[in-house]
Amino acid sequence: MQILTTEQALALAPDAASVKAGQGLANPGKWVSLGRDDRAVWGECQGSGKEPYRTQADLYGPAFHCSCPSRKFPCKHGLGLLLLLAANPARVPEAAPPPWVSEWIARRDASAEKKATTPEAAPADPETVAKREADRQKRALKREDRVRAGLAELQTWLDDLARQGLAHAKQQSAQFFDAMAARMVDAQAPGIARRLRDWPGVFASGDGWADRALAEAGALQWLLHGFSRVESLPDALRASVRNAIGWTVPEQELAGAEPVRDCWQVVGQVVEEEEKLRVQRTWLVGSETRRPALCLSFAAINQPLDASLIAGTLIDASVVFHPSGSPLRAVVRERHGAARPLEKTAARASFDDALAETANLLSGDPWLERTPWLVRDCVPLRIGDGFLLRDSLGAVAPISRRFTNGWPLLAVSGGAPVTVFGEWNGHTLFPLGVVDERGFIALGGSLS
Amino acid sequence: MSAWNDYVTAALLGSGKGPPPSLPANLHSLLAKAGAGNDEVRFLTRAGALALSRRAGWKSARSEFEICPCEPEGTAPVGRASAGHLRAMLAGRCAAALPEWLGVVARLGRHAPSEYLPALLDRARLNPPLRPLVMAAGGHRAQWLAAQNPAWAFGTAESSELWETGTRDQRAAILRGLRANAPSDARAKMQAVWQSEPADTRAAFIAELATNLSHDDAPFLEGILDDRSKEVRRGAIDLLARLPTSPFVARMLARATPLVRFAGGGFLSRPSLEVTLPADPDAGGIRDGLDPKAFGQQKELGEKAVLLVLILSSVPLSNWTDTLRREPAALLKAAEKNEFARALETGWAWAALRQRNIAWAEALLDSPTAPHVEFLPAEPLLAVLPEAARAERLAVTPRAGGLKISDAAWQSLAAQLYSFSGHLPAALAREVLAALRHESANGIPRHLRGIAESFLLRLPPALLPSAATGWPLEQEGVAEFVELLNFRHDALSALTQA
Repeated sequence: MQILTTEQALALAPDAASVKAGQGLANPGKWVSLGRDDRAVWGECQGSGKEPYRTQADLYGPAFHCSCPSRKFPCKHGLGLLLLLAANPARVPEAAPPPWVSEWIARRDASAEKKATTPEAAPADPETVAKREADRQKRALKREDRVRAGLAELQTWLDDLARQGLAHAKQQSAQFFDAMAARMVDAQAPGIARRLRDWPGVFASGDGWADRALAEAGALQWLLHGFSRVESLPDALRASVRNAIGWTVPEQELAGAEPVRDCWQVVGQVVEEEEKLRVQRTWLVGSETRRPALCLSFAAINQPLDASLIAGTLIDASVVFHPSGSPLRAVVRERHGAARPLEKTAARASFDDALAETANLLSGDPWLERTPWLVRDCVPLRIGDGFLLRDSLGAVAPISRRFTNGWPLLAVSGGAPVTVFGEWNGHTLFPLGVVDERGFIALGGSLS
Repeated sequence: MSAWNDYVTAALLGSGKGPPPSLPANLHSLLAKAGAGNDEVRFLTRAGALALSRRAGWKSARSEFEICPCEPEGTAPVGRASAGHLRAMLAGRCAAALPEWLGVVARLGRHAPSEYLPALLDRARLNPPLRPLVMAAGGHRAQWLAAQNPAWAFGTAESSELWETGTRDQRAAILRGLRANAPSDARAKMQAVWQSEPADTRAAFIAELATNLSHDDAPFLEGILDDRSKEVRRGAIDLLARLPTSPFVARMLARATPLVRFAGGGFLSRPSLEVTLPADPDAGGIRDGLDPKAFGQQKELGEKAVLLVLILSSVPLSNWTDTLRREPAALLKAAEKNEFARALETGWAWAALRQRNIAWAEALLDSPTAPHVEFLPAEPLLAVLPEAARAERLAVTPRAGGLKISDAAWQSLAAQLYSFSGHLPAALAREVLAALRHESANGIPRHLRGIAESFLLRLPPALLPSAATGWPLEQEGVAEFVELLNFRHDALSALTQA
């Protein structure tokens, strides 16, 4: 059975308040009953109501179910249950699941099976199908028009910016960029909106800001070029242009994609907040294929993010990629067994190798903002007031100043080579995990 | 990549200010067809292509920066479950159990997971008592790490720079560390800078000599009797009085001997203890700290009685049992009737504290006459006793139901419980636990929560499983305490089992 560590359980918490409340419930005294088997863990927790809440977690997911009225996910009871199990499995006796647990597990298995075998239930009436398809096409055309109008405005805005110079643009308030970003949201080009909101940060990023700002302006210009001739582009590149602008591929369009089965190493996870939205990026790297995959999960603040992928695990799974010139974004289609702890990693030998992979990815999709680097035998260095990473050939890559776990990374290495996973943005590396002789240690969250 | 720099310069000023800079030949031919659009579009198109080619062909810098790797740990890391307990404590759950946990990790010859060392060092920076625990549980890695961050300088072996420029506390800590292993080196280090240090620093340094105090320190301490600062002089006297072979103690003994003796004792009457008050101090006496105003303006003791206390406090207690040929209890009994009984007891109690004399401390605690504790060091006499004897005496209080009466009784019990360096002896722990349960039938009283937490942290591990059961969990404040007990049990057993 896969028992999560405290660290991994805490990573599932939707917010800081849940961490605290969950910690409080990681106390056997708060539970009327507790039990577990290979698949699930469950307990009854006396809350403020008359009946105790029935809380259960499917360890294969992990997935949660609780009879409490909380809208957080997992709720504090579910989190407390996993924390309790992590801290001392002996306090949760092995037992046969009560009916309310076995029935829920059975329902989960049934619905997973249904999802896997039966595609969309076909509507009976061909007329409805035709109408639906016509509506969809109408909506799609309308969006194309809006995007086209919005991008024409963006071209004018970008022209002004280039003509007046970056030094002038740097003087603008964040409002100046936010207003244009809001315009892009209206134009249904959220991918561009997100990039524009990063501009004030680029201007404030210290040495080299002008290089980064010009590179970003150039990338937007190429995106405008791409969209202006999107119909004549090859399919894959067209998909990349549309992804960068903010089109998403509907689930059903992925149905025909060829799944890639591998033992996927879950090498990093990070959650960022963007405009009242939490975005979780989970990076997988295939043990056999060496292929990287990026699983995204979006949620409103306080709403659940996908909790099924845990950094530091190894999963045998079939993964489907979104179409792109360099397919990276992916969804896990099917699992072939429970997750195991990630102990050894199949990593690149040097930054040059990681960079070759980056160049390869950029050649298919030049708008990728981050590329994954999984490199072995790296030594983190503290020089001046910043951190660097040096590979076995002596090459160094700067570590992002936004990265707050520089000291823990240094502590784990102790000056000895370690395997590091991180996101490379073309200028700096943002580490999300490190592997030492004990195994994988996540760096994407808080370590204090 | 000078072409790129040309583009950045042009972009800063605005692309309209001149013709677009030239491109490297390979890009130039590639972009020949991408000529559509106005000047700005052409400029950004070329800049974007250049940026992408730079990004794809990023050349890393090289660094020959020498890094001295940490030496391998001789100890085993703690297990996964224990790493989870540490993570939970750092996240705020049962954080009070952290010092004990760190101590056990070090004692078992294990070390804490390296990824948490920065968080632990940060805590230790803000909380000095945690420092030795973090350094001991952090292994070589903690020292290696601390050496790289000035904020964690407390964790590094002594650096000459820190001794020169550190704060008073940092420098005192350096002396403390040195004193533990090489006492005379520490003294020499202190002497070398002595003349140039301000009084508060001198006072802080002198206190560090208490560690591994020996006869070798006497000459230096004698010299300090002429120090300008009264506080520094007092610090020296306090240490000299603990050195029975020091000339200071010999002088005090000469002053004391004529003051206390047995007299009378005829056929039917027992000999009684007679006290002669000391004369006004001469120059030598003043140098030795004999100041009738030593305790300031007060009504409890007369000026001569103050001198008596000061003299007695610096005389070996064995002197009295040897010359007067009585056991401590008998001497105290004989002193009871004397008009200066409390002054005698105060002087002797002070001496018992300085000399860690168990027999005298026992006798003083049993004596019905109370010393003037307000003139004594804060440490209670009970602290002189071995833990078992101390526990036996303390256990009487809760057993007699003495704690139900007042909050003050709990406070004073708590102060004495804190004098136990580690866990409480089992018998005492059971007594106090029973008293606490009794008080907590309707929830733990608010005024007892602080005391109860520190008490529960000192319960010996073997008692934890039974201590955690049978509480009225629904009552206010109880569940938190039971959680602390359960957490300690889980965390400590995870360390010892794995």
